[in-house]
Amino acid sequence: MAPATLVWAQTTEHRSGIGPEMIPKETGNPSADVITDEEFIARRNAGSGESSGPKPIPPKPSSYGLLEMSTAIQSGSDFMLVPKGSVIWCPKQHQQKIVSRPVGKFVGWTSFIAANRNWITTVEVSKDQAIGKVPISPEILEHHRKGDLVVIATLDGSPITLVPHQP
Amino acid sequence: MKALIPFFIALAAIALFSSAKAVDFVRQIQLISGQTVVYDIPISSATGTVRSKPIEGNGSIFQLYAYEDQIYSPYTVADVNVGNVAHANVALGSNLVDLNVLGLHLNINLGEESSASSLPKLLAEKAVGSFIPQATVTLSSADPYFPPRTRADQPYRVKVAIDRLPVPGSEVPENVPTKVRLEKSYKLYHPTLHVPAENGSGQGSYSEAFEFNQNGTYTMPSVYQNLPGTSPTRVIGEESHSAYIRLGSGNALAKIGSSTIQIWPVSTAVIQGIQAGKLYYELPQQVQATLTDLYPDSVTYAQIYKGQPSLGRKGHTIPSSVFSINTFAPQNTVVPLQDLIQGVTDDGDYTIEILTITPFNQRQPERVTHLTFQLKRNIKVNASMSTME
Repeated sequence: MAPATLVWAQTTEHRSGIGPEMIPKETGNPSADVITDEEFIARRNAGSGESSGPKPIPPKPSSYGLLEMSTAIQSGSDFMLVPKGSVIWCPKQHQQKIVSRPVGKFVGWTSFIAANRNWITTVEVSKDQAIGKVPISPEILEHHRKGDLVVIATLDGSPITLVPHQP
Repeated sequence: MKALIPFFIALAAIALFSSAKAVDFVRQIQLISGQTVVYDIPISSATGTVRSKPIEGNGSIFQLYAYEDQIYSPYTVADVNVGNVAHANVALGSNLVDLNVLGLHLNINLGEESSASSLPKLLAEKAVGSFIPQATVTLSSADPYFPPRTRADQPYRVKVAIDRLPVPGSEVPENVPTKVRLEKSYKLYHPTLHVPAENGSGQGSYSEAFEFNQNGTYTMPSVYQNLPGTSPTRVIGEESHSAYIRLGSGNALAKIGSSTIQIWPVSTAVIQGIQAGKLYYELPQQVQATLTDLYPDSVTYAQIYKGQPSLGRKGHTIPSSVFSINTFAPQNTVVPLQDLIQGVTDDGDYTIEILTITPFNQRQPERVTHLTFQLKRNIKVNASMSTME
């Protein structure tokens, strides 16, 4: 059986409804039976030029997937995902809140930060600091390390990875 | 390298059309000298401009994510422009449809149930940069509907336009991608909700892939779906063709273009209340047809004619059977086949056919099923009468 060719039909917008007036005027006589599985397989194989086409295989893990590139922070039944490397300080008492498999409801950055201000804070960095070109002031880091808040780096108020400074 | 950075990439303009509130964010994954910097940019208003950072290093990947709010809202239909380089038009299949056809209520709520534990969904991804090739993947079928869709037995066309691959022999920095890889993946849909499984089951990719090392437009004019399933004409789901490059220190695949086509099953029909091959002394009154997975753009009806089945014959259209839809997803229905008498003349064999008109077969009817019965209403009695005196 020869492979079917793609024939573009004319676009004829039609309404949903019932009754004989729904049949388009240009309708001719039936010209084909709907295809059976066997006929379809034969047509597909003829088109691909081989006895079997591509085989379905399990999904490939995403190289730049959401979880792979994130740090998950759990707060009760809510969690938030922030860029990997954006949590620049986490005191011991909050370390169990950094999880590899978050559960519950995902909450966006703005809402999550607003709801957890009592144990999360942010530190604004410049673009050059984020990419490791320029170091963050040691005083600022020292100040946060003495506190008991989780510290997340932000650029223009949004979380960003902080690459360690490489002189 | 910085001098080569096109300035227009620095701005990522995000235009969103959504009733949802604060449910999207853009993630920029930037590769700088072997380091990966991730930057999440929430979007809190329906429209807005997001200022992203200039590209440095080997390139940057932009991803658009959406998540459901506490108040149920369908996923965003987003038109995303990342500078002049990237453009992703996203129209998810999870449309909400609540259709009334002349009093017949069709239960086709395509929205996924809100799931409290679900992760944000990746709607679009695009890698851009000074030395990142561009790829535009376009899928199309005989059905002009957007987003692209086709029927399980019908071929579709794949067009891949590749640009900005380095010309062989030209001087380019180390680790610049020199190939574009085209891969095909799939998601099976729930048979009645018509959306992919929330937990990611029924998804995968295919063993076959293509690699391109030259710029140009490549077309595969007739591609058939390969969705896994016991009946290949009855499968339901979507196939995506995605173009990737190898990027970053780990040579991981980054997507630079993609397109998805929905695949709906070939419809089926069962005629009930009348049996094939049976002799009837009068026309049955309670005949109906159960129609399953009618193509979203279709007109389906029954006809009756005298004689054995003969493809190509035009018979008497049974008015009560005509059912027309123009919507987002397949539908099921039951139609009565009333007043068969109008298609009947004298006694003999009669054939009932269920026909469907779709964008395929050049919008001419295809026969879904047929049934032949025998009608013998006039009983001839040979008798003699005599009297006894």
